[in-house]
Amino acid sequence: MSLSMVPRLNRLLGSLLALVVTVPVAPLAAQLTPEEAWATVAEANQRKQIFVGALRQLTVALAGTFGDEGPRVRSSIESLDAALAEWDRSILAFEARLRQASRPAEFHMALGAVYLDRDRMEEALREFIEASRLDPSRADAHTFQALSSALLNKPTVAAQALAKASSLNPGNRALLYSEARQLALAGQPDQAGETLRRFIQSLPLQSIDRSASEAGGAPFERVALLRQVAGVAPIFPPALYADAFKLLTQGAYREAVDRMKQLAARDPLNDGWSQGDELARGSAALRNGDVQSALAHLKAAIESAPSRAETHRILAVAYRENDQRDKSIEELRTAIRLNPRDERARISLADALNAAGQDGDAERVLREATESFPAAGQVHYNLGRLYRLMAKNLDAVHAFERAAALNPLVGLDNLYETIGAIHVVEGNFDSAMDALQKRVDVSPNNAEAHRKLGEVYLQQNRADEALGEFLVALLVDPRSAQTYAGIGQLQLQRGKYVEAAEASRRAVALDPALRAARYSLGSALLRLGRTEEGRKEIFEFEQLQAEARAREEREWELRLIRQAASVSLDKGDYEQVAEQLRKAIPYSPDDATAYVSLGAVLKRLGRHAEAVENFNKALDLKAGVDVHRLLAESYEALGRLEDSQRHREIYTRAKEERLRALGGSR
Amino acid sequence: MTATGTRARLVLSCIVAIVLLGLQPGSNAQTTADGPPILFEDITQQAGIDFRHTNGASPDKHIVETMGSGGLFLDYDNDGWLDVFLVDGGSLADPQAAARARHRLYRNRRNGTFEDVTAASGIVRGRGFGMGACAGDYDNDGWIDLYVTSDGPSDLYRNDGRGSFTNVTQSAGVGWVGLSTSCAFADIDRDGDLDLFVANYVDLTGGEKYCGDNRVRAYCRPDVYKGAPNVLYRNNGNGTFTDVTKQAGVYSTAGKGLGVVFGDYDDDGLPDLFVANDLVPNFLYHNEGTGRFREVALLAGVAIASDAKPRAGMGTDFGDYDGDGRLDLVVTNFELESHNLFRNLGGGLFADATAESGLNVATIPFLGFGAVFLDYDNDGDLDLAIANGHVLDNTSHFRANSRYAQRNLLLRNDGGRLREIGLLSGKGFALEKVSRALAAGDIDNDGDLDLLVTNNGEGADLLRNDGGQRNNALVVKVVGKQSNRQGVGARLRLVVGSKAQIREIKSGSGYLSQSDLRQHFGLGRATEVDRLEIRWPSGRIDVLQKIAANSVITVVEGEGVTARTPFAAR
Repeated sequence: MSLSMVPRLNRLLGSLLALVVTVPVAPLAAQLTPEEAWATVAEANQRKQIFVGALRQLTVALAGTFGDEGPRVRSSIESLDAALAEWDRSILAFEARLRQASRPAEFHMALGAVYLDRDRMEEALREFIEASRLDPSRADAHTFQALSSALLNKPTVAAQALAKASSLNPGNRALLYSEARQLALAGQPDQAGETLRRFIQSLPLQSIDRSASEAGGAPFERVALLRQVAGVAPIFPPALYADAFKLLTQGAYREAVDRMKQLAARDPLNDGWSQGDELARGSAALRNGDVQSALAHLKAAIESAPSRAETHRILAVAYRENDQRDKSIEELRTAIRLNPRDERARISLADALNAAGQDGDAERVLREATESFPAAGQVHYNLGRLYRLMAKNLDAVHAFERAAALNPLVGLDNLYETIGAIHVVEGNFDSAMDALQKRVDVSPNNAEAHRKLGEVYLQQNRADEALGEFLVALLVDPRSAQTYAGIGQLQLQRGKYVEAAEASRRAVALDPALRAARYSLGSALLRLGRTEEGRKEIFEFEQLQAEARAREEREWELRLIRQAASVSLDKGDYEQVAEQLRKAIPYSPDDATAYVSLGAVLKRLGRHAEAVENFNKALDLKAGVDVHRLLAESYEALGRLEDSQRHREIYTRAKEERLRALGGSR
Repeated sequence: MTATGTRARLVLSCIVAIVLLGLQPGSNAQTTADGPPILFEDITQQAGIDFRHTNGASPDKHIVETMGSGGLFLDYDNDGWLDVFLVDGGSLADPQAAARARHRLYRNRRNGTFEDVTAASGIVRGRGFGMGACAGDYDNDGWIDLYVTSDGPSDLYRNDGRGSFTNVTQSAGVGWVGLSTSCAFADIDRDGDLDLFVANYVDLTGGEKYCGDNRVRAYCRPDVYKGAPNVLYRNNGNGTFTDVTKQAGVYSTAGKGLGVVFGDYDDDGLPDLFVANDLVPNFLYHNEGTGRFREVALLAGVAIASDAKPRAGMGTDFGDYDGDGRLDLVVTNFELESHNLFRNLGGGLFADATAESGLNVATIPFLGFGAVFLDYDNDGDLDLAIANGHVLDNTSHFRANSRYAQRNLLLRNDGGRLREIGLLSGKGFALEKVSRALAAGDIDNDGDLDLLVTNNGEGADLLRNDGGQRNNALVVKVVGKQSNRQGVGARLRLVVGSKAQIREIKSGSGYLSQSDLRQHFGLGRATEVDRLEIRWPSGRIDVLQKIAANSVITVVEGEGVTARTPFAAR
């Protein structure tokens, strides 16, 4: 479902949820009041949230982590079905009431909102057009026309609507920005540029705080089934369900749910599932954190049905949790051999191979999986991550782009950010701008997304577009020192020293340690003839730079030490590795992993007493639970069996708790 | 054929002609007023320049292997024709290869070919791994001398005037040992003789580090080493020099010097000094006139780019690209950093003009080394040439789109906007090599500037300018009397109508290189220069009027034009 960027109205959806509690829906025969209409809208939105809730449950279940999710998949789909039916019933009821009522603009707006939420865009647009015809002074009618038009990929219509909205509501600066964006999409670059310049002129820095306050941190609204949150990794449905989820993104919810019902029957999670059999018991034990019990049940399940792929897959999970990596890999290979259509097993196998340091094999598994499951977004995404680890940037970005085209449920922001970053590193700036623009489109209220795009525009000499993005970033987050610094740098380059000083001063006020802002401020002041002030800022910058330089030098030294250790490790020269890792410790004395790494090498060398010392230091620094396993092994080697047992129990308990927490959430 | 049809065909023919001639508005074709494009032809082979740089590339990835080497134009035999000197490297891993490496001196035969006169010159490969060179008549005997930098001891060769040189490093006291890079002669104290500045890169005394990743070793970034201090030698006037680095205020271990250029950026008559440093802020040393310099790069706005980050400063040059009478500055940087152009605002300040000039977008994909301002098309404004080439021979392992061999750039100056036209400028700019030094000079005395490019691990390129001389020009050779013999540091200001151009005579600029000491001025269609002012390092100002174009003139301090040679026809 595509994103539109339209400034938010106060009078819609979220805030009216409260009315559902206090204002009952009037009987059909009575005249509908505007309050009742909006209460119905809020109720319809609640239905939507129930539908979304069921969708979230389904998504979690589809991961198939424990192998017992088959019934959950079915029940989630049933919940989707029921929620959708309720939702549509409430809309029908609303439509029926409105047919009986006179219909001022208000009612068209309300019905339009319901349709918008339900992804019935053409109908929504029709209602908003009618609302604006009945009451041309309503800016919100034009705004929502724009939203609907944008979602229908009608940027020209959207731009026209935004222009009208802007003329009726000139205080809403974001309307101009959105209009410029739609004009650009409509292939009208000159008009887009002109509108962007008007936006820039309408938002001097002195007015940012007030404008941002009015916008409340979210000047744009996105209409979508699931909210795209910044920083969230992408989640994809399994390839088996890809076409059903695609129907969802296209707004064909009924068709999507019907399709899901058909597909669930083919899901390996439901293949021969029987509550109470050994597989079910094994899954339950795993979910409960009882790995040993799980292993016993699953092995028994395999004895009785050795060709059931799903059992092998879940046994692999149990082996993994039991730190039996090789056996885990072996079981996954068996699962795939028995059921080549098992996408989950392939993904797990690639993860296991990667964890075992067998990146080449992991790559091969994922590449084969992309051929077997071209619609598997998760496979493409995981392949992209692997390529990134292998420093194969071009392959990584290709895989990520393929994943992005496969409609992740969430995580598009993260995905486009990653794609954009790789393109920047590779010097493909046009592609970078394209990806970062898409990121902004899916996350218009993400200030950092706008700022990053602005920075690339600045690098590419597209000053107006850069400034536009920086200003929008400030509308969302007026306390972003980096954004003000970006504006300072831009104005400095343009020779606009007054503006550069103003922006840089704001940046410095927010973050006195921001070097770029100090430098821009000092440079601007010097060029304005304010020599003493300028020199003072440059001096401050020099101090900050010297500190940064010292930090960077230490980081480089540490990096080289670790690199040398890595090379020694490849050669199997563990003595040398230990020596190098010991050198690294003073550079990061509070880094638990440094002690863990050194301890592991010492353990390998049989120097268990020293290993224990380092592992305990790591524990003091809040290292992860794996340290307990390492301590258990080292203590055992030292003959300190009680200490060994104690740490082994801590490790096992921690893993059980983690599994139980994971099982409880899924 | 009807009359209408005939006319239509005529119109169509005109359109086709216009398109073919590239005369449509906004065309990137670079033409003289009435001719085909100006092309740079690779004449290396036919000229007989058979030098091949020994970079000593080895699996150990010694940092010096990827840095060199230098090359320069000089007229060592004073016959009025530019000769070529090329620095060779060596090998830290293979003693036999090291023994085979030797610098080369080529004498211009005046017929488009050059003769290897190295053996007769007495210039042997130095004791270190050769880097760069600069040339200046330090003893004012009328014969240009040579300083060759290296990783190891650097060497001073005094020109005996008989086609040979003598290594006088020890007696002169200029045998700095370290990783020296670019150098430049200048009369910093205006006492009439040339002093010497040598840039140094990093301190390798602690041994070289392992860089790269587990699969592949790579040449190290400068970050992993501490900087080495530069050296300033003051000429004592008796064939010896004194190290005055500290007392002159130019001692610093914060730098990692690669490119060097002297220039009077504040027009106070004293040579100032810019040092391009690699991944640390650049240095701009303002000559205080008291034998001391004050480092002012940060205040001036040339230490770092406008985003407050240091760049990988490699090559550099001063030149007045915007024609306002003030020296501007170019610095070449790493790929994805873009090269920097700093516009002189006056008052000791520069503006970062990288974006406004268009240099950023044009240069982002390239890793630059040598840079030179030159008026290649003789239209009266300074254009820019840049030599590019990566430092990592396995760079695509780390970044897929990165290339080791890269093409060089020719940026034409269109009213202060620099438009890259290399691919339209002949085979010379289509070559993709690992280029390093870049020098400009008129090797055939035909009035346009040719180029010398050195390439790491392979032959140098001599690129002849074909077409620039269709516009008029004037080449000025100066001879100092109270000032140093070659007039290094002299400021020339040439006026034609309402337009003025300035040049300064520089020994050593760009990266590891030096251009023709004669000063070239493009005059467009003008056939006469209204006025030429020469501000000598001694402080004397000579003014010449009504100088005919299209010749090489010799101007002696206080005596005016003493010789005039028309450009050679070609």
